[in-house]
Amino acid sequence: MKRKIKSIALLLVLCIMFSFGANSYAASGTCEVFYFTYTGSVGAGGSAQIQTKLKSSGYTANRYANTNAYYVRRTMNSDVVFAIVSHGAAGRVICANGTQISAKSVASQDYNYSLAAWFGSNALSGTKFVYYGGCQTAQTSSTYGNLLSYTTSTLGAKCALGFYESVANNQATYFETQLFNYLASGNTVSYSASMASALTYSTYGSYGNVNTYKIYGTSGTTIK
Amino acid sequence: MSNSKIKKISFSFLLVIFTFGMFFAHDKSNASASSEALIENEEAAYTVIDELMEGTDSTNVEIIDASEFEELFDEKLIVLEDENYVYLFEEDSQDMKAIILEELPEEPLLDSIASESQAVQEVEDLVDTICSDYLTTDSYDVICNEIDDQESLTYTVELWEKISDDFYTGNKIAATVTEDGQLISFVTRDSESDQAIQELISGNSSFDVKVIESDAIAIAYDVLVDTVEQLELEEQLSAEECQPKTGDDVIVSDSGKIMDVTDVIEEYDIKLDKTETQTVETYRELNQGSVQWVITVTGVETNRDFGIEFTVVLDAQTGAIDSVNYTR
Repeated sequence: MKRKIKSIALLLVLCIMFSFGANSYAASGTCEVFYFTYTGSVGAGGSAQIQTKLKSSGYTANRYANTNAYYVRRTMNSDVVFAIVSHGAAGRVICANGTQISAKSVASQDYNYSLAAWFGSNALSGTKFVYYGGCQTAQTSSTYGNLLSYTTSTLGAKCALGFYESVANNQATYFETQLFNYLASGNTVSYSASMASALTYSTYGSYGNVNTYKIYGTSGTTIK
Repeated sequence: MSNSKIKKISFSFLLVIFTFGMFFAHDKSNASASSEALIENEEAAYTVIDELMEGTDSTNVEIIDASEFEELFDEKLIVLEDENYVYLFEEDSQDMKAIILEELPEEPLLDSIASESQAVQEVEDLVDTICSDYLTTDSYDVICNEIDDQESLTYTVELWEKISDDFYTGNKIAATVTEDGQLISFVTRDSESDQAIQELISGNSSFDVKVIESDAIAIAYDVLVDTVEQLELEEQLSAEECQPKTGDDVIVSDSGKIMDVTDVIEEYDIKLDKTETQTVETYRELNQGSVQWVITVTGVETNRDFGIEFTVVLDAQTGAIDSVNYTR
């Protein structure tokens, strides 16, 4: 009888240890999501849903509005996932008060806050995924560089996604909502983007150019 | 208990058993009939994939649970998967609904592509293989966009089913392919306007638009004035909404200048009235049985070094605005 009780107790302890162990494999770390509502900006887009999905994945996900580029950029290296929903152009994303984040440093511009001026090589090696949700953020500018390649090849983030063409806000909002919905389910960036793009076309009857997404780094990256 | 009573009870019992038996047999027969149809459709799906894979090494494709996809696409689907793609078939028509890329195959499904016309041909051949009956009118327009990002060449080919010039049914097919012949995506779009399409083809005048093109453009510009006003407003956030990320850092920009985070750059100005730089394109399209005008205004300048485009969709019978969209 005593042996039986001991066996049951041991089994119980093993079960408890296993459940703790399983929980310890859930995602952890900090994510940041930025959006802008100042004059002329894009609005919240899918930023609220992005934050919700990151939280459901187990992350501490902070969402900020109308932030100066300096503070948007400031702790990217601490983020497991970074997302920005804003206007964009080749090599840059637009932040509050006309400030912008570019890949390359532009010494002549007061309002430019480049990744190159703030981060050293491989500074983002702990970052799994960076989402640049603005127009033409996958394009290369001779002045500002290429956000996606700089984020992955130079700064070492695992994966980054941006758009090659100008994207329509309604479709882009839907796309990023579905993108992070699928990422939160454990799917890869490439599969999630492919699903999000197809769903956008099926829903809206047009891509709004979200099909021009580009993925740099490891497209098989997952965020969980 | 008398013998006759026993016989009566036994007979009643057997009658009940028989009745239940008939009920379940009938139900099973119905289930069996629908299962047979499903099996037929599944086999048809396998056949389509075999044709798609012709010329490549055989693939291990298997049926997977469709429920998640059915919820998102809002229709009954048969879903198959191999190591490279997820294939979504419409259960009733067996037309391919979408092909979702998981991992690029070693052997591309299509031939190498060296031009836009070749991309269009490859996509049209693909459509013949996987959903030849999807577009039901005799004609469609082809829209092909090429993206050359210096690393790869990609083509997105769309087929828009049409009723007449610049008048579309809303039923569309889109495929993105690379110069190497890789299929990146495939998807169809149903405008849910079958009856309207048939009536239009047969000349039903109840669909004659009451809002002519010039009026549609005027309505679009009117609503854009309001849209631009809203975009140019500073939206004040309440305490409950997200606040900016701030701090006490000394902020230094790329120029080395110490900046004040409260410095306000020139306010955003969208130059909607500078029409000489703008191009307006229009077409009509069916959506859920209604005819809509789609008006796109490109080349709208702003006081930044990037412009903006607008798209307005309105009802061609009433002029009511359906949606306003703008680029990021």
